[in-house]
This record gives sequence, structure tokens and C-alpha cells, in this order.
Amino acid sequence: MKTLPLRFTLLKVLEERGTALEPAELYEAVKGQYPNEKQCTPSAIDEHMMSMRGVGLVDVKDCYESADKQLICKYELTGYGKEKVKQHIH
Amino acid sequence: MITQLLFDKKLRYTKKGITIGAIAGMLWGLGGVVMAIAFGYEPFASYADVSLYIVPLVGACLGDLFAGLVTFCINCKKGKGKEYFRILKTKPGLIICLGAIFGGPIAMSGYYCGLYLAGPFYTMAITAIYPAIGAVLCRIFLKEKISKNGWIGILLCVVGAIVVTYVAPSGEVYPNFIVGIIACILATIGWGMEGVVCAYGMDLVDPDLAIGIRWFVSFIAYFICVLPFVAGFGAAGYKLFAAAFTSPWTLILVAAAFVNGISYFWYYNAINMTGASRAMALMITYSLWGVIFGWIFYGSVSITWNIVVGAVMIFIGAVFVAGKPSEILNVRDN
Repeated sequence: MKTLPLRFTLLKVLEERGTALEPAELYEAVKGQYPNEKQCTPSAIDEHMMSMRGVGLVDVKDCYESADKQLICKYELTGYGKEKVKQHIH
Repeated sequence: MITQLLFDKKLRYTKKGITIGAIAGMLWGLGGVVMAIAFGYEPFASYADVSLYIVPLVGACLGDLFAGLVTFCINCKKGKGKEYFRILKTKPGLIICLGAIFGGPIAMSGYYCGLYLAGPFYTMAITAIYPAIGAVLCRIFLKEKISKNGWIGILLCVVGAIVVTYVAPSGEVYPNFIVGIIACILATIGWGMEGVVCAYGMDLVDPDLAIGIRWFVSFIAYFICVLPFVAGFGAAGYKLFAAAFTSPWTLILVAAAFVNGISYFWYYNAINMTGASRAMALMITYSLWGVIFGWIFYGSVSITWNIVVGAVMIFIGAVFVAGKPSEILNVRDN
């Protein structure tokens, strides 16, 4: 199967699951497609999500503080994000 | 508590975008000065009399190639090497390629044709307005949020850049003046469009990869479409291109390309993080940094009234553009 660029795959996973996901969950969902690629880490995925949040593709749904005092956020697709997925990823 | 932490996280992200956008402008000014130094050595020096645009356009072509290689190395280190090919198979990837052609060969060729056919006064003044053109296009096509202070900042940066680069009309007659002005307008639109088109493509494409692709596409377009015409129609452009690889002085050009590569790497990230209109306004500060670095490297730039006034305007403009980062946590209205 053709491997999509990482950002495309992240959006596709969010669209298929239809629910808000946190970076670690997204990482688990996509890591099999990017074996041995340093770009695919939970922190890199969080940066991608922040970038896509800025332009309105995803939104922050819920946040909580982890045991090690890190802010963990869940991201979900916006209407604009769904439109983009339909246009460019399917 | 959590709301405050989230707000802080968004704010850090926006501030980072503004900071790297400002540094990108400074580095572009430095890169331009280093590139100008490289043009004073072989093989470029001996080609300066062949035609007015052969040196800058072949230099731009080589610069894009070297900057592309620098960016490729950075991306490979981050584990993003394979993404180049994946992105080129997508529509947003092709949109980035289009932006590269606007900002590379179209804008740069227009700029140098403008210098030749209409003279530096009009060329500098017209091309300096590209952030304003870009901001209007961003507002229309991308629905970017630009506050009243943001518009004031963009205009101050633009006017400041015009004032800093002011060259008194020489009274020289330019027989193809109108064609020169059209070329300047083409350059202005080209740079404005690059920001907007690439910002649109970077909704989905990682900015680190967008800039990597931009350099290579721009290089290929120069190599195929521009180099044959840099000194009439012929092989002079290719001869200079090949000669550059046998001269040790080309290392200066490589150094310039390294600085420019880092500059655009951050410029593209700033476009994505703060919006194209703000990033373009911060980038135009290079006109001021170019003067400062020119003074440091050459020591021959005299500090005139227009440099001081322009510098103050650019500084105030950049402060207005940065504005209150807390008001631009979301770049768009959508």
C-alpha cells in the first residue's frame, strides 16, 4: 500500500476514528507505516497537531496533566479539516 | 488551571513563530551580503561583463541548489528524507511546486530584468511592497486574521524597506522602461504569491519539507527555463554554472546558500506558525539587515538619513506586526 506523508496519515486516522485522539494514540495508530523513521514520535506528532491547529484543520478537544506534569491534549478534526481530508486524502 | 496551561502552550508556539520569522529576515540580509561577496570572485567576476543578469541569475540557480542540499541534510537528520517523494505525489505537494516557481525564477528574473530595464529606484520601491500585496491576498484567499495594528505594521515595514533601499533617480534614460516596470510588478506578485500559495499548501505539507521541495523545484526551473536566456539565447549560463564547480571561491557562495537555506527554513515555518502576511512583513526586514551587514563586511556603507528613518520605520513596523501574540493564537478565521 502507498504510504502517505505523515501529516496526511494523521488526519486520515482522525477522520476514520471520528473521535479526538492524543499524540500517543496517534503514534500507536501510525507507527507501523513509518518504521525506523525518526520523524514519527509522539512529540513530533504533537508539533504537527499544533501546526495544524493554528491553520484550523484540527482543534483541541480535551487536555489533562500527566503524572509527569506534562500537558496532554486530544485533537479532533474541524469541519475545515474534514473538507481538506475529503479533497486531498481520499 | 488546564485552560491556562493550554493557553501558555499556544502562546509559546506563536511567539516561537514570530521569533524565527524575525531571525529569518536577519539571516536573509546576511546571506545576500555574503552572496554579493562571492560574486566579486572567480568565476563570477569574469562573467560580469557578459550580461547584466548572468551572474545574479546563475548565482541564484546555484544558491537554490546548495540551499536545497543543506535543507535535505537537515530533513534527513530529522528522519524526513522519504517524505520528499511521498509529498510530490500529492496535490498540496504540487501546490508547493507552483509557489516555488512564483518565488524563484518568476520573481527573481522579474527583479533583475526590472533592475536592468527600469533602474534600481523603481525596482527597489516596487518590489518592496510585496508583503502588502501578499497580506491582501492572504486576507482574500486564506481568510488570515490581520488586525488594524497588523496592517499598520505591514505598511510601516513596506515603507521602511522602500526608504532604506532608496536610490536617487540617476536621470539615466531607460528605453524599455515600461517593460522594466512590468517585470518589477511580476517580481512583486511572484513573491506575494509564493507566500500565499505555499501557506495554502502547508496546511497539509510539513513546512520543513515544503521548503526542501521549494529549493529543488526552483533550481530545476532556473536550470531549464532561465539559464539558456541569461546572456541572450545560448550556453553562457551553463558555462558559468559548470565553472563554479571548479573554483574554490564558490565555497563563499555555498556559505551564503547555507545561511539562506536556514533563513528560508525558518521563514516557511513562520508562515505556517504565524500566517503568511506576518511572516512576509518580518522577512522584508532583510533590507535593513542587508545594510547593517554590508556596513560590517564592507565598511563602505555610509549611514544616511534614509537608512536611519527607514530603520526606525521597519523596527516599529515589526513590533506592530508581532503585536500581541495572544491575539493571533489562531492564524485564520475558518
